[in-house]
Amino acid sequence: MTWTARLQGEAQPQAADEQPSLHLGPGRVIGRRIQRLEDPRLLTGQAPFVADVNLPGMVHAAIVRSPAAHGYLRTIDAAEALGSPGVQAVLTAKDLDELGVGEMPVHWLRPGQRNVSNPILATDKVYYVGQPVAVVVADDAYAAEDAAELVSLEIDPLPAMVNAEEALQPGATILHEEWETNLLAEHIASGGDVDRQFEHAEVVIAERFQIQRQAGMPIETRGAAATYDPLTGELTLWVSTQMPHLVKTDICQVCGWPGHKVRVIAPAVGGGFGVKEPPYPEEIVVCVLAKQLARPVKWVEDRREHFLASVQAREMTWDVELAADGNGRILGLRGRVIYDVGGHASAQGIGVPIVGTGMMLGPYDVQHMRVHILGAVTNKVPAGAYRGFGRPQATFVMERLVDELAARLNLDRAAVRQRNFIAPHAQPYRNALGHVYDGGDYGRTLDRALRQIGYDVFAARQAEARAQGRLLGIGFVTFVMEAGLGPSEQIVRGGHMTGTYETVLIRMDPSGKAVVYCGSSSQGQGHETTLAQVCADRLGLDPERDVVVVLGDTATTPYSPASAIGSRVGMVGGAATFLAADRIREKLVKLTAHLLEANVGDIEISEGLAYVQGSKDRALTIQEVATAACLGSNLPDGMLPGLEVSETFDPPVSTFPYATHAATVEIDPDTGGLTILRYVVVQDCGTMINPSVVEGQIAGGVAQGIGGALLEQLVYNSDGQPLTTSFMDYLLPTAVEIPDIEIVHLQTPAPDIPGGMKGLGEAGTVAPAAVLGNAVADALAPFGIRVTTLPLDPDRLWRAINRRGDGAS
Amino acid sequence: MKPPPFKYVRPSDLNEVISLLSQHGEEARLLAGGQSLVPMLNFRLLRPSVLIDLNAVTHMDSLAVADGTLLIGSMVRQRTAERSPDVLITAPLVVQALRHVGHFQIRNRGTMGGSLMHSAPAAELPGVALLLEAQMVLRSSRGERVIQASDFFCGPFTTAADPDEILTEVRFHTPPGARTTFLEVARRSGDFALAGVAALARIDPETRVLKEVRLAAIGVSGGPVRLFQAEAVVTGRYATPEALRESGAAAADEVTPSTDLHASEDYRKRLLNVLVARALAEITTL
Ligand SMILES: Cc1cc2nc3c(=O)[nH]c(=O)nc-3n(C[C@H](O)[C@H](O)[C@H](O)COP(=O)(O)OP(=O)(O)OC[C@H]3O[C@@H](n4cnc5c(N)ncnc54)[C@H](O)[C@@H]3O)c2cc1C
Repeated sequence: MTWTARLQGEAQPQAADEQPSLHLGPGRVIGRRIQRLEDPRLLTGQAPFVADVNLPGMVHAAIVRSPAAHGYLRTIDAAEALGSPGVQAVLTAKDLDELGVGEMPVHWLRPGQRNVSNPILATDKVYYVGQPVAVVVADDAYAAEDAAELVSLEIDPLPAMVNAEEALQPGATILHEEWETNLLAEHIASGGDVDRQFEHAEVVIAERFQIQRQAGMPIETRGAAATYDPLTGELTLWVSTQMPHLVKTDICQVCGWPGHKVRVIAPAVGGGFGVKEPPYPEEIVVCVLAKQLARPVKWVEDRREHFLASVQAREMTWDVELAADGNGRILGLRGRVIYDVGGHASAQGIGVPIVGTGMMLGPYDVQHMRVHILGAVTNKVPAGAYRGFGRPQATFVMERLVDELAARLNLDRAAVRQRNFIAPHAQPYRNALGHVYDGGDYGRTLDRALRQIGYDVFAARQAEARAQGRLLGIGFVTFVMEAGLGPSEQIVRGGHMTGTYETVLIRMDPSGKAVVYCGSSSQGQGHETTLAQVCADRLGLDPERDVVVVLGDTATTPYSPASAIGSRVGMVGGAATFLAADRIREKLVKLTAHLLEANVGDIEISEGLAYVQGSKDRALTIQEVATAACLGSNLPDGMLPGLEVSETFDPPVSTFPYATHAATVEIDPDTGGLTILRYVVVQDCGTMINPSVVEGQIAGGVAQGIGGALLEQLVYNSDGQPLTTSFMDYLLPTAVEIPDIEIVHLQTPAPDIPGGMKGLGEAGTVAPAAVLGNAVADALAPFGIRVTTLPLDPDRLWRAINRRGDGAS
Repeated sequence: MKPPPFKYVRPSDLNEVISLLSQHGEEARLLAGGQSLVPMLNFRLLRPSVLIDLNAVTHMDSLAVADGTLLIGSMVRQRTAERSPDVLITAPLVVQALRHVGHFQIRNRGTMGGSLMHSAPAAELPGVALLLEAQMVLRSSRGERVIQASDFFCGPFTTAADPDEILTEVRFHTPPGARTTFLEVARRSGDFALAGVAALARIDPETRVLKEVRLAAIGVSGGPVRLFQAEAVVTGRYATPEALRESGAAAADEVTPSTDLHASEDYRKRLLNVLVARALAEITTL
């Protein structure tokens, strides 16, 4: 079975085949369903990935990883490994220290946070199975792996802490002894006076929710290949990352190398999803070795390593209470979330629960909340970003509470939501934590989704099915997310030590074609296509024939601090492209007016031409104008030659895309097996640069969300040994498990963003767990089951059905 | 995930394979479709010093029918068997089971013999072999011997074959007039089953009574198991919903599955219970 994203036509973008091939100009290319420009290269296997980087004399690294979850690292004996065939070197923390290589910085810092950097290779202690301890370099990857087995580690084991809640109890084994606690950092997300609301609340719903450990699982694992030129002192690193510029910044900082001698290239990258957001120790090590050995060095992570050493995510335990009046009006939310950080902070610290909690009240007009966020270290892989970044968990918690509130008051779930939604006229709305929303009609997306899925007739169908012993359920969720990370100043104030701006450089040469340089990278999202469309739109060019987009190479692209994270490339990179292209356009217009002896105000640019409005015979091709600009001999007064513009866009605000997801499910009462019958998404992401790309992003996000709701779980035993280290045990959804996804678009342009894009990349993942949780709770309502724990696997559901109401499923 | 070093040989003749096996014994491994062996090498769970590739050996992929018995060479690809009319006619259960084996890409490479020899606890084909009381033909330098399926599977990843023996052929026979089915529940399509059932039944055309019932389970034990109690409960009775339910319950009582990441012991029992009843319902309703 396949999924198909169906456009329901609300936003009326044309279908690809309906479009005339030449219809180019402002407002005509943005919004078009052109085919993705990168796909021919990707689909025919021509796109180079890190694994494809092969250089003469290249050697290969294998990482020796800690087999123990927790312990003192006493000795590392590499003598036997060094004697193994083909081995060139073995590197340990001691060598790094002698070379003056520092520690990996943590980028997201909270006041009082207990670690701000982490060793690249383990020094005196190991904190999780898989932690890098030593690196073996050999002539090929096989020899390197053979020799890595021969490195013997002496580790005095310590008891493993595998549960974040227990890690915070008195008497817990302390991981980082100098901290005297396992609390990495904490934060209180608070606004209004929530305790007062609880005093006069008529209803309080109190619940404990547990969300399992998951990870992004890009199909291409991580990898890095570096080469050093001793003559020039220049180092080049190819790395499978979402943030090439940040990787470069970290390398320079950690190794003390000058920025102008380091070049980082993110070639084709096969998925990131947050996993490839932080710079990693292996990436630094490969660079250090390339310089030391004066030979190119490559390391490609294997899948087992990926399960042991790439950031994991999502594991949280929530104890929360929702206060409401007797009509279902929500008054406040309070509680505590414990976030499982893993062995030490990843680059993101406790940013994930902070971002998730920040928008937890979502579309509801509620001014009182307080959530205490605690990040506890455990002997597991460090936790960091995964598409959604805390929002799927917070949405699951909030939306389950809202359904439970409706059930408690015996009110319709849709009516309770409508009663609490922020009214469109109350926008821009400042939420309890101070985020100012940029518009939205939440009631409309809910209505539209319920109409699409047939909510009005569902209750009858459900009753009929129940009479036959069949269990049907429906769930729906409306959410608002903050996208784009806001202004640089704001995020840095919040402790995230990178800016959020994007700089785009556009160059046009005498041919009249444009090259767009952007420092973000692409992991498959379609950035080459969407940025080309924005540029082409402004310049009257054909995005397929006349524009090339260059991404992810620090030597050619402008500095990009945040790159491909936070649903921001289409929005922030798109806006920067929009502005840069407009400045080129301005210059073309002025020059055309000069050349045609017309007024600037009368010049139009479209269809590859610059012409006097209303008289297309007075026209020049863009190529002719560009040639003149580059020749520089006949220019208007004050105009400098050339057509090269760089624009930096630092978003003045975040954007607040929103959506309603709705699903119907059937559960087999005999086996607990769950089938998703329908899945509907009504999304408003502002201006759609390309609806097909939007739909691809939504469908992929929903698929990942469904995986997290039903299938995926990273499991550790009580000794901290990971039990899920292959795709046999960590179950990703396949095309068979994903239903058709019906997508309806609403389009409200973002008021403060040039182009009007709101950010979308993560949106699809935010709601599925909550939607399916609500649908399951509805299906199992006759059994009085509270859905509070993920994943919703068949064993759990069957157990819930058969032990009628003895607690949470 | 790179295998440790090994020597690789690619003989073209079965006798050569047999002499290599007798020479290297436990140090050698046969490479058939590689769908189980190669991952195990890459995980370094196996460290053979010699890999004997069977893919160039002639006459190991024949498929024939003699006296209503299907004779299937061990190198026949699972996908070939799945699509063969001969298999469908003589041993439909093989086809019914193969549809649950991994994905078609896996079955394009994976072989009949490889799956039976690998003998994973939740593998479908061992369950089929046990149910159809298949005969496993083994060859070594000591000659040929034929082992009954019931003596062949000895627990997880273990068979009665000696390290120097090669499985050359498997013989499947379906009793005339029998109907069969294969049902399983897996977490995702193509995954190893949490529990699965191979079922066979013959109904007396005169009396409508169940004359012969055979049931075998996978995924609920170290290897495939016959469910003799569950068979006995329904044999000689009409296939009433009640009889089928009792058979399901008996099946659940005669196994002790283990709990793992994907399902608990009692959930697996529950699945077996349901699957037995459903499988019998499917082949006894016309
Ligand atoms: C993603 C995936 C999903 C899968 N899902 C399932 C599933 O749902 N159900 C299932 O049953 N299987 C499943 N498999 C396993 C698959 O069916 C394998 O093909 C099969 O188990 C082994 O067959 P092979 O030909 O690949 O054997 P190989 O991997 O080449 O060999 C397996 C073992 O058998 C030995 N061997 C092979 N041939 C002979 C012979 N003629 N004589 C003696 N020893 C021999 C080998 O030495 C080795 O020890 C799956 C595999 C994958 C990769």
